Amino acid sequence: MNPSTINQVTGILQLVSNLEPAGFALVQKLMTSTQGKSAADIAAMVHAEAQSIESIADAEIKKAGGTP
Amino acid sequence: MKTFTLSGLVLALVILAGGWSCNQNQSSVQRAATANKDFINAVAAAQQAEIQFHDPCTSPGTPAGCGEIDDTLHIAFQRDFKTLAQCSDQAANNTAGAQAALKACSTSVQSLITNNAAGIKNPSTKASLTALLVAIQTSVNTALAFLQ
Repeated sequence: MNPSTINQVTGILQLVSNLEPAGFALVQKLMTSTQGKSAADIAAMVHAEAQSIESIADAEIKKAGGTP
Repeated sequence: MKTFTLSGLVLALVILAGGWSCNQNQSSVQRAATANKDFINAVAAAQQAEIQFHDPCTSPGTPAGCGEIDDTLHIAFQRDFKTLAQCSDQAANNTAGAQAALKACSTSVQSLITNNAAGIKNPSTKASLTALLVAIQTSVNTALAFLQ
């Protein structure tokens, strides 16, 4: 494993150690299998996630004094 | 710094693995779709982390790195996460234009790493967030590779 990869792994481990319980919720989300699902099914999952990210981003931008 | 947890370790492994562990019998279109799903999951993970690094350290148990990203940088990050979510969604819904959409995502995430992450002063916070941004870049490049 090269130093760059080790740094990435270390960085991620440092971060996720600070993300409880959000980290656990993310694990559950990431473990959601796409196996057996069609591209259209996966697209629907991506769309739902995109909507969630966008609404969180808008709320955070507003809270910080910006315009979404 | 809290002790590493099992779920944290699994999260790191899942992000690093990207779409590698997906069903090897999938078609290239399905693999690209799965990689795109990994990509947007990585965006969600980075977004949650960035929010925690922005939120003030007002309550007990707030993670290390809290309050280290100011409002201006936070707004820039959130705008970029929104852009990434939109181009992932576009890639998922437009098979013909998926490659172009993902290329735009790849450019956006590179800008996110070089511009936004560079603005974080604390080295540990910077390293953590950069690692998640690199995970985003890896997953979008994986999705692109399946389409080429």
